[in-house]
Order: sequence, then C-alpha cells, then structure tokens
Amino acid sequence: MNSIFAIAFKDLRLLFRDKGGFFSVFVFPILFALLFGAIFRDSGGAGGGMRIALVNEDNGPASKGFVSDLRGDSVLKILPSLKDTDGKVIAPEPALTRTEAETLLRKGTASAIVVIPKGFEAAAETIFTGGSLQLETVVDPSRKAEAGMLEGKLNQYGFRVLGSTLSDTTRTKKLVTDAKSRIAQSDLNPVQKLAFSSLLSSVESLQASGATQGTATSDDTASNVLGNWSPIKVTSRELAAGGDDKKRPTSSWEVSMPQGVVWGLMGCVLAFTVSIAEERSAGTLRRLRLSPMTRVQVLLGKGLGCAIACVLVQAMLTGAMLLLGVQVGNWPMYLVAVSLNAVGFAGVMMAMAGLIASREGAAGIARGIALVLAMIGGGTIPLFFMPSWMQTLSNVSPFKWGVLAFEGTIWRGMSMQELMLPFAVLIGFAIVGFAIGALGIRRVMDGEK
Amino acid sequence: MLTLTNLRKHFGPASRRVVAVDGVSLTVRKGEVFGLLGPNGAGKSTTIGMATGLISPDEGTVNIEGAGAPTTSTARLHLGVAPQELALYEQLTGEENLRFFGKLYELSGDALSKRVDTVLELVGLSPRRQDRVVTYSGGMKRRLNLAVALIHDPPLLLLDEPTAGVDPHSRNNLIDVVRKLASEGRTIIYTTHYMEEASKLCDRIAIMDKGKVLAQGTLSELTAAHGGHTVVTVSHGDSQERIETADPLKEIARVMAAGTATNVRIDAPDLESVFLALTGRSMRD
Repeated sequence: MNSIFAIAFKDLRLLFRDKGGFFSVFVFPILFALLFGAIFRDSGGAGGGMRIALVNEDNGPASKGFVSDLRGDSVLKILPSLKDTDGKVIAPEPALTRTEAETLLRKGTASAIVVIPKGFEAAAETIFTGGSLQLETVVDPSRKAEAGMLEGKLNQYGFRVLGSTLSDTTRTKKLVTDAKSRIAQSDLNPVQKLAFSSLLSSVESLQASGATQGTATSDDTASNVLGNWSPIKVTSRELAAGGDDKKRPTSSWEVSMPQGVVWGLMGCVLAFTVSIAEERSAGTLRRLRLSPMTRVQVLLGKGLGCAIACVLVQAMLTGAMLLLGVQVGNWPMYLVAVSLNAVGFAGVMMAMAGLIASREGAAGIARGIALVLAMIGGGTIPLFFMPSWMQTLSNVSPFKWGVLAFEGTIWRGMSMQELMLPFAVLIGFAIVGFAIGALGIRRVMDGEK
Repeated sequence: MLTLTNLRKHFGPASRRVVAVDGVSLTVRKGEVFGLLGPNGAGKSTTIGMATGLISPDEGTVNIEGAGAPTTSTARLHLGVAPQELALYEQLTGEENLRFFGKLYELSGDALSKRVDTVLELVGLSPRRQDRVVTYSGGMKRRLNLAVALIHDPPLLLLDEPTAGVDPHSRNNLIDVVRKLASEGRTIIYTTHYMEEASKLCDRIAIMDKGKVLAQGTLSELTAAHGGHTVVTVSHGDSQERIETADPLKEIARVMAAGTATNVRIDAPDLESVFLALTGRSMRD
C-alpha cells in the first residue's frame, strides 16, 4: 500500500513541477470558469435545438393550435415527443404535468418549461378588453441566453393565435361588439376608453379591407395610452433548487464553475495519461516493473495520484466558487460528487493510458479525445446548440455527467434518486476505465524491452 | 546465485525474425563479478532483460538462488538493476529519486534515510543530493542510476553497460564503486563492450556475439584457450622480427644475447585477441 501512495505522491510532485501541466490542471480551469461565467452573465444570444418541456393545462382549441405551432418550429424541440423511438405516432397525445416537466429540466433533458395555464382559451376572447394570453416559462439558469429567444418564439406563436382569432370574421365581429359594450360599461378613464375604441375600430377597418393576418396594431397615440398592455404576457422564472428559493442560483458562476471543474479534471486526466507514456519513454516504467510491485499496484498508484489531483483541483475551484458567493445546495451530496468525479475521471485516465502507449500519442490523441468529449459533453458548447444526435452522443462523455453531478448538488436541487444516475455513470467510468487500463497497461509494460 | 539455462529469444514476425539470444546458459556464482562482454547487438541486454524478468524468454529458464524465477516479489527484492538507459525522474532531486524507489522496496523512516545517505556517499553525489537530476551531468546521472539499483541493498546486481557514454572521471568513479560493491561480497553481473573494464573488474567473463556465448572463464583461462601466443616484436635497425611464443622471456633472452636488437616489444594475448580468434573480427569493427 505504501508503494501505491509513493507512486501517487511522486506523480503529484512531478505535476506541480511541470509548469505546463500545472497550468492546464490548476490555472486554465479557473480562467475558463471566470471567462465563461462572464459570458453567460452578459450573453443574449440564442441557438437552435432548444428542448422545451411543454405543459398544457388549458387544452382548448386555441392552446392546441399554439402547441401545434410550437411543435412545427425548427428550433424548438417540444417534449414529450409525439413519436416513439420507432417513429410511430403515440396516441393519445402524451402530456406532462408541471412536476414531470420540472424533473426533465433538473435532469438537463429540457432547457426550459412552457406552461399554458388554464384560461388561455378564454383570454383569447378578452384581448380587446385588456385581457392577455398568459404563458409561463421556467428556465434553466444555465440557459439564460436562450430565455430571450424562447420568449420571442412564444410571442410569435401567441400572435398567430390572435391572428387566427381575428381571421374568423363572424367571431371577431362578435368579440368587437362585446368588447365595445364592456368598455362602455367599464370604469376605465375616458382617454383609455377612447384608445381601446380606436383599436377596435382599427380591427373593424382591417377586417373590412380583407386583411386576414391581424396583429394588435394601433396608431401611436393609442399604443402610448395603452401603456404596458400587451396581448401576450409571458411570465418567466428560473428553476428553483428543490423548491427552496434561498437555494436558487445567484450568479452565472454557479453554472460556469462546474464546467471549469470538469476542465480541471480533464487536465488531470491528460497530465497523468502523458506521465505514464513519459515513464515508458524515459525508462522509469521499467524500473517500476523491476520493483516488487505488481502491474495492478502500479496502475492503482497512478490512478490514486490522478484521483488526488482531481480532488485538489475541485477543492481549489470550490474555494473560488465560495469566494464568488456561490452557494452549495447540498454539501454532503456535493462531497460525494467531488469524490465520484475524482474516481470517474481517474478511470478515464486509466483507460486512455491503457489504450495509448506513446508519449506522442498521449499528447496528441488523448488531447484530441478529451477535447471531443468536452465539446460533445457541453463543456464548451451548450448541448442545446447541438443537433439531437449529438445530444444523444453526449451521454458517452464524462463531461456531461460530471457537470450534471455538480449542478445537481449546487443549484439544481436534484434529489438523491435523481443524482443516482450521474453518480452511477461516474462509477461506471471508473470501473470500465480501470479494466481497460489494466489490460492496456499490461500490453504497454509487456511492450517494454 | 543466478542460473540461466538455454535461454532463447527472438523479436519480430516470422518473416523478419531476429534472433537476439540463441541458447545462452550461464551460472553466476555467489560473490563473483561476472562479465558479459560483446559488441553492441550481441544480445547482452536481452540476456539481462530475461535475467531480470523484464523480457519473457521464448525458451529456457532463469533461477535466482533462494528466490526462484525473477518475476516473483522475493526475487525482485534480491535484484538490483541499473539499466543501460537512464531511468530517473529528471524533475526530482537525486535524493527524491532514491527515496521514491526506496519506498517501492518497502523501505521507510530511518532505514530509508540511512540507505539514501549510504548510497549517495558511495557514488559521490552527497553534495548534489538536493539538486534536480535535470541539472546533473551525464556521469552524475549514471552514478545516480547505479545508486537507485543499490537503494534496497540487494545481494545480486545486474549492471547493464553502467559506464556507457560517461567521461573518464565518472568511469573511474563507477569502476571504483563496483570494486567496492564486489569487496562487500555482492554478486555482480556486468555487461560491457569495453574490454579493459571486463579485464579489470571481472572474476569470470562470458564473450557473447550474435546471441550466443562463444566462451566463458577467467581472463587467464580465456586467453590461454583462445588468445594465442605472446608476440615478441624485435627491431634490428630498420627491420623488424615478429616472434609468437609460449615463453616470451626465453625469446627475449635469446634476442638480447645476439646483440643486434635496437628495440623489443611484448604483446601478451588479451580479450581483443580472444574475440578476434573466436569471431574472426575485432570487437571494435
């Protein structure tokens, strides 16, 4: 056992003395987290392929038309899907409850929730009397950049609902007549009454001129007087951690820091993968073989060193998170996540070291693999920017599970049951990685002359 | 102490098979310095590799007295190996290297510290113990390479070309260290392509070429059996006379009595002449 620790601490000492390795493991992740944290905080951009968990509590004709429009959007991917894995249409149409939708959001399966509350249909008939189509959204705090895009989409399709209403001439006439009557009897001030009357007259004029696509247009005077009134109101909130608002993310650091942590972990993986290849080329691996240690003990020593380095980098970034005011939602589970990330990524290192024998291979191929895993795992590019097949592919990346384990314990408020999946996957990476490493290191060692 | 029996090893696919070691059998006695002498590519390092368990033989066995095959942990505690290629962590200091390898051999605490002090003193690196290996000269690295092999105080040492590529000062230092180790009663297998080193250090020598042991024995046995006669070269003014003889003193007495000799040179048979006789070529070719 002492010799296993000796290898581990020797490797850590070498890591600290290697300026390049030290930078990639301990400096780059911090820089990455700070940079991307700042970008997330200020970004207003949007991308495609955003997964939306849809909850339709209204189920009236207008809301169904609205849902149909959302499903037809090329950017939005509406959950639940209408087709099963074989491409067959599911009947009856599947539906989500708010709770189910929140679960999808916490797991990262969806980037946002759209709720069509009860009364959506009725609201469509009161827009001429100051009513609004009400919609609710719950967004993943790490997807803030997409929240604006989603709101735009909801407004676009909401207006289409209103357009559909206005295109029904008979229905519109009835709505306008009813509205005028209600406005006349309302306690609105004269100026407001005049503004609404002007708007309704515009609608009548539009219909008379044969316009079929109407939107809530009016002249400048009317729109000024109508103040904040909007025919579509989207109420948005961020996903709360476990329903406890005190544990809600307070900054984008809570999103970028876990990603920075995983970059640090990948730095450890690369540093130790390269170190094993270097030991081979330097002849020191031969010396290790000449000692009374078995191959498995040598591998365990290497794995332990990597795992300790992983814990150190996580501890460092945790300290940075705390300094930036990030609150850890569930400390016990966070510590479990730290441990399992260390073990899981040590497994990834072992697998790479077992598969790649040469120093050049370790420096080139391993770095390439790590970057690909980081990218498909959402380490640099958010998953929702990717096509669906790549999002599915991301499941093979330890990045995805590492980030999910961290976010789940920091702000996603994932329950123990929900955390079991990322935890189990990380353990799986450790076990499979060790097995591949044990087989591969034997090949590497036997290749020594 | 160490017995190699009919070791064979080849490398490469069947179509381009290279036979590295071809039926080598050796017995190294306890307490002796045994030299493996041969040119580069003779199969010395492969033989050492099989003796240490780093290379699996295609055929044959290796047995370490009291420990069995070299792959067992007991055998590895008996073995100290200084590989031909330096195997050191250059970003660690000399002392850190020794401490690390000592821990692999289950040394710790005071025992480890004493061994570190002892071997550093032995190889003359105590003043540089806190310096990183990357700052060492080639000769100093060679000495540290030997020190690592000694850290666990093994009774059997396998030194593979321990003086390769070092300056004369370091070479002399290393030879002195090997002599001291031999005087302590250790068994040493010493591979080299320097005949002078083998002549100076080794109690017995095996001459290898093309994977085979061509001959083995003490220096005098080898020269007597394969070195031919002593050559006495006599100069008479501008002409020279070359005399091969088993009794050079008698020939010199005869030449001197004639009173015509202006110069006399005596060339006793050595390992070079043994190798030449055995292979038909010089070891330096």
